Amino acid sequence: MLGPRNMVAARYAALPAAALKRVQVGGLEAIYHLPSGITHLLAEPVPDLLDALARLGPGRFADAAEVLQLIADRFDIEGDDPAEPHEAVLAERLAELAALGLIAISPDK
Amino acid sequence: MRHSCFITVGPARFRIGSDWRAPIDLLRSLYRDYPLEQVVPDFTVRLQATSALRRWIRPAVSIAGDFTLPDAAPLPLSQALLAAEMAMNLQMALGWRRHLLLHASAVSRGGRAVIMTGVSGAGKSTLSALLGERGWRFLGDEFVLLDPDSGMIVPFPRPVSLKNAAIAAMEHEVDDDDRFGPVLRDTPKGTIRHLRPRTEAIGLMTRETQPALLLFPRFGEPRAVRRVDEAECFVRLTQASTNYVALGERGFDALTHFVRSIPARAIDYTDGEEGVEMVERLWSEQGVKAAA
Repeated sequence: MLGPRNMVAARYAALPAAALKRVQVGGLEAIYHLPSGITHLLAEPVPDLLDALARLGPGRFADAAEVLQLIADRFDIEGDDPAEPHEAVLAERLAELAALGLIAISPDK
Repeated sequence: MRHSCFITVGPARFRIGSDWRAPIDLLRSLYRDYPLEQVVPDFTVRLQATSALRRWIRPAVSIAGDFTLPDAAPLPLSQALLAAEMAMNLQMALGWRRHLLLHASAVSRGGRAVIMTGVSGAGKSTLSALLGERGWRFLGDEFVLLDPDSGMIVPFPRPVSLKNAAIAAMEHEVDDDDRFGPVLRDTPKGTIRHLRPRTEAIGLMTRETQPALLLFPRFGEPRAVRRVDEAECFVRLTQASTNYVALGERGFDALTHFVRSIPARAIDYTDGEEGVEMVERLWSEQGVKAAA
């Protein structure tokens, strides 16, 4: 998958559905990552980010701006610094999720 | 091994071998109500002399088995019962794969179980022993086995390992000296004395029960009850399990189902009487029906 030449933002996609097991426990979501056998316990909006990417479909990559569009109607995104653009806040969360292996990052960013 | 015996506790079968006869005789006596016939064991534990001479001169017991801790210090022969208990616990903690193992105690009534978990010294062991004398079926004071397929609790009612002040409390409660093992003084855990569970509890140890209430008891604190949400239960139980990671997806499924299916409370209590009363009260408040 090749992005536009001037695209610098990282792009992310959902993992295949079989890679994650997700269960609501209280106010959090327990996620079992089958490839690694590691359990994650995550608070919102993380499960919603996973949902948004899953709705796009595995292998369909989106950057932070696009993911923001997908979840904008459901969340008020706000960083520690109010001046920080929403897109940047979301990009950080997506990068963290990718580092955990819970979403895929496009190799051709 | 010169001397040996077989002991079955719940679903787990142990073969205990020893360089000396005395520990085997003590084990046979302490476990007299348990199945002791020869079986293919799940685990083999060896209580062995630290050196050939040590069998005779100030004998010391070192633990060997399918799983060992390299740093475990040898114990004097007089504490061989404790060595056997520690070795059996170690085999379970590191080797058992058929169930999700929780470091917890449990009792049941009417086929439904209260599971009590907490750090060492929180009082879960004594509380289960007390309840076991007061109309509850004792399911175990150290490990609770959760069947990942059925979600049921499988009893592991080994003899209760009473420590320090709990010894006098249970001696007061149980009017049958025959149910107690020898007093083991100056062990690494202080004074230890084992209490054989009531024979009915041992007789029913293959009967699974349904979990109904999860408690996080804390002994020696002013009375308090706090609701514990599913996420906190999940985190605390992953920490209280010795084989959660080893069980992989089965462990995840078993534990998420468990915390979502039963209510949980943290209880602080000043003494055993208050603890028993609080468990009884929560049991009735949960509307848990005691069938028979």
